[in-house]
Amino acid sequence: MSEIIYDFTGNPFVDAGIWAISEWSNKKPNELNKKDFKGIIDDVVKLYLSKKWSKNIYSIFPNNPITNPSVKNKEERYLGILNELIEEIVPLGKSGDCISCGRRDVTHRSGKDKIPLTGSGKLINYFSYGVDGADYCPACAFAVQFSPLTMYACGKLLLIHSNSEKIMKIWSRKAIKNINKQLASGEFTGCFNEEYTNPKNALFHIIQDMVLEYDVRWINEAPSINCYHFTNYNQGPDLDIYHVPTPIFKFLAYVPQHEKFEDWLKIVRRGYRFVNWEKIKNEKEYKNNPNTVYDNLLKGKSIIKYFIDRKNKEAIGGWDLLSHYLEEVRNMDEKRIDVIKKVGDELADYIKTADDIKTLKKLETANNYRNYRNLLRIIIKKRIENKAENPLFSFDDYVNHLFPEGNLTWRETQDLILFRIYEVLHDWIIQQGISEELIVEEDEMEAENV
Amino acid sequence: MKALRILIEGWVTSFRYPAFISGFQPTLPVPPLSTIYGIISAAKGDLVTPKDLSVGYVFSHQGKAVDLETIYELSGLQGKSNVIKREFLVNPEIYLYLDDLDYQEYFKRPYYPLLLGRSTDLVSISEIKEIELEKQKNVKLGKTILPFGLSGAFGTIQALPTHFTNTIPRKAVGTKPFILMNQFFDYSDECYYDAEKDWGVWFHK
Repeated sequence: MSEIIYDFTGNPFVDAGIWAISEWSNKKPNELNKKDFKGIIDDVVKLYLSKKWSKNIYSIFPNNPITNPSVKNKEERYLGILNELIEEIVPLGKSGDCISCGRRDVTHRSGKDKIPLTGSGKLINYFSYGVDGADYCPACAFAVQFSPLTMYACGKLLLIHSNSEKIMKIWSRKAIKNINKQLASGEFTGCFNEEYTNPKNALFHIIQDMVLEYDVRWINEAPSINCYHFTNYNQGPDLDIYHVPTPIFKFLAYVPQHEKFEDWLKIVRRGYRFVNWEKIKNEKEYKNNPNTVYDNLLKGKSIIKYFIDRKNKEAIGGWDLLSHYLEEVRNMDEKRIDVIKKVGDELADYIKTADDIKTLKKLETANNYRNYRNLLRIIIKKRIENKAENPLFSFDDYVNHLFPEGNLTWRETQDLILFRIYEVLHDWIIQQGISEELIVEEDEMEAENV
Repeated sequence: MKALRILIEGWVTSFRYPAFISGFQPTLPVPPLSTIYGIISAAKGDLVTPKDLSVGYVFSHQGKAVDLETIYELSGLQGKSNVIKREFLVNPEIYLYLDDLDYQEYFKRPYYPLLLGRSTDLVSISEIKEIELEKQKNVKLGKTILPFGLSGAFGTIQALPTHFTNTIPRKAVGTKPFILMNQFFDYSDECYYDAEKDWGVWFHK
């Protein structure tokens, strides 16, 4: 039988705890042994008993000895529970009824005082067949006790879980480093806290820090991240789950290397709602405001319109960054991207050559698929009259790439064509002057798009 | 390989995360294997486990929402009502693949009502078909549960059982980490391919 105690389980609380112990003991998860566990518990229990940590622990393990006011000898009682779990830990086997590792058997069922978001032992119908707790083996229940070390204070608490060992390692290292600072300074501030209260913004901040601070070839790593934002209070435990799929993580990891990284930051800033940028003095004043760019990325919705500054007729980020987003995150066909770019180029060429700013206005303000198609038909006719050498697009391009789903995707195509026209013609448009009338109509258009 | 493809359709469904028992009840994006073996067992009227049958499936739905649900919290013989939020999926559809053609009889005349997710989520069988699956490389694979670590796959990672025992209380069996892949991705290695549907089928052996 293998002597390995911990391997990746897939249970977010157990895995967070395993990585926390691993980082604290400076060992790989599969190298940990009972001696390491004995070596960590005294320090961690002392930490948990500090005022700020104890407050966090209250929302993770209600009614455990640390947080139950009726328990007087807290340290002794909690150490007793941890030591008992250590004694019962056995190495991973081939099978078992633990609902986390599946490779060890359960000796005692656990309630929400030991495992967050697991029902109270008294309310038995939360569990199949009315048993009095959830089936966690001693090793998995022990690991969960250390999960708070890697949690992030963000209103409620944020637990990060990833398929990538690198992400788990980087994140636990960062969290434990923060705790070491608390220990060295003697100032206990509780779970890692950077004064975020908006979990989605915090998540993107955490990812950005990871990709900026650590030199990892994320393209080979293919990480995805699940984030559990929760409380485990006795009254009203709550949970929100955010999932960052691999394509979004890869895109976020790619952006800082791109020459237009500053433009990406501008795009993200455009996503913040309810911010008067003229009055903003520092990041604290907006970092917790809702951000539609982040919201849309998490919901799988498009952020194309944030690449387009309609008011100033500007394409933010450039075609290369936008097309990378389309390909990686939106999973858009390369051929479709090329066709849209080509049509955008041809239209820009026509508008400039024919000195026809009115057509640009019509392309911007068309508000249904029929009008937009009709507009393209008129431009095709005008181009033929002007003896244009190439057609605006072929029949195949139109059906398969420009509007592959007809009415469903025409807005996306309109935005992308507009982006390209702004990118190519920005200086020329500025020379023509942007009339007030046009700006007003743009705002109306944007409102309709929302 | 000859296989049985069964189309199962319903109105709503919700697949509980085994780790989250109280408070908000989110749904997994695709059903776990234990739900699939549960529905097969209901059709047969007897416990079916991975030892009896290999299965694959492709699951889709048309949206997700959250409902308020009354629950009765039992404390001994006393019960009091409470309200929880439960996430559910709308218009679920499963193309279920079985490697044993004999099971079509069970799905033609299921022994018990067929339920998916919750005990109220009744489903119906829309099609039962014998098909030929070929092994092929470079196929689109996904909208299913996949073994943790499968090259190129990504999604929610969860520890999930493959099935439950029929003892009282039931015990989870075969728990291990899985990738819950709720979209298709390009899978470059070889796997079974349903040419009619143009997607790969991952059989859990």
